[in-house]
Amino acid sequence: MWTVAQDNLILLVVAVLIGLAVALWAFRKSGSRADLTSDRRSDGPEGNGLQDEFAAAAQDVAGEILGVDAHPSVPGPSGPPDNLRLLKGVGPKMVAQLNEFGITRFDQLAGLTETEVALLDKRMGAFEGRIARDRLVEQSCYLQRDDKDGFEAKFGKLGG
Amino acid sequence: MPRVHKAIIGLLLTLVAAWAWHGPLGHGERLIDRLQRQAEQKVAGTELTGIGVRFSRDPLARTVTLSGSANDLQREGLGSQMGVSDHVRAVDGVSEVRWADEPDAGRRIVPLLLETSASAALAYLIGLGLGWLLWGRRRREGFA
Repeated sequence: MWTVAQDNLILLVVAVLIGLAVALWAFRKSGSRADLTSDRRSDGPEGNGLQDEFAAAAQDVAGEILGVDAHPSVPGPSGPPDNLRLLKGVGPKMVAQLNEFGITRFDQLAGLTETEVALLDKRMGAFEGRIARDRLVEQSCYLQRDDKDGFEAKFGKLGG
Repeated sequence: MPRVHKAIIGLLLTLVAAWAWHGPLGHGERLIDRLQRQAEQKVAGTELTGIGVRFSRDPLARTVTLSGSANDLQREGLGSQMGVSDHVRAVDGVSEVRWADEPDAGRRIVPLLLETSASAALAYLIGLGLGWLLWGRRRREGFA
């Protein structure tokens, strides 16, 4: 039998490689971040490219220098409020803090750019830095799509 | 496309590769030719005359059928003394030895193509499993 295996060694290696290639094709895509990023950015008002990132940065710096709010508002809610406590790391007080900024829905959080997150995080008081640290934008991307399986696979069981 | 469909496509591709390896590329034929030569050398080493060695060719198989006028002792040996069957069976790669004039000569044989396909399918599944370990497992990140 060993003779047969030796005789077919090249075929067996090819078969293993086919298996690896198919696994890459079948499994890797769903686990990658590409979809998540594209979803998030398609909803965001800026940050779709390097040019937009520069524009946003310039807007922020100008706002700081002029002492005005360069990012006057997060896009308003497009429907009834979501249960933001489903997000990992978010409790009632943090929900109240987010609500103060007009954030009541997952799609609002999911649409935030990195610059907006940084600005909001600075104003979160006791929760400063938590939006980025707890990856609320990423979490919201899943929940706004109602992708609970994807959420739980990445962040663990849903809270609330 | 569902993952199961992708896995089936991969399996079909592997089976086609196994068939091409066995048939058009000629590896099946070459293996049986080699086994035939080695079996004939073994038979020649027993110094018995008139013993025929024939491997199944349609379909190709690792089953060898011996023919000739050897008696039971010459065929199967006795104690530590090996018979012709034992010598041929000792060829690495031979799966079964039969005698043409014995009742089991007409039993079904396992085609080499089936063995090749099965081993290729197993190798494919191993590759798929390794790939799953590398890319398929869901990783939990934080908030455990």
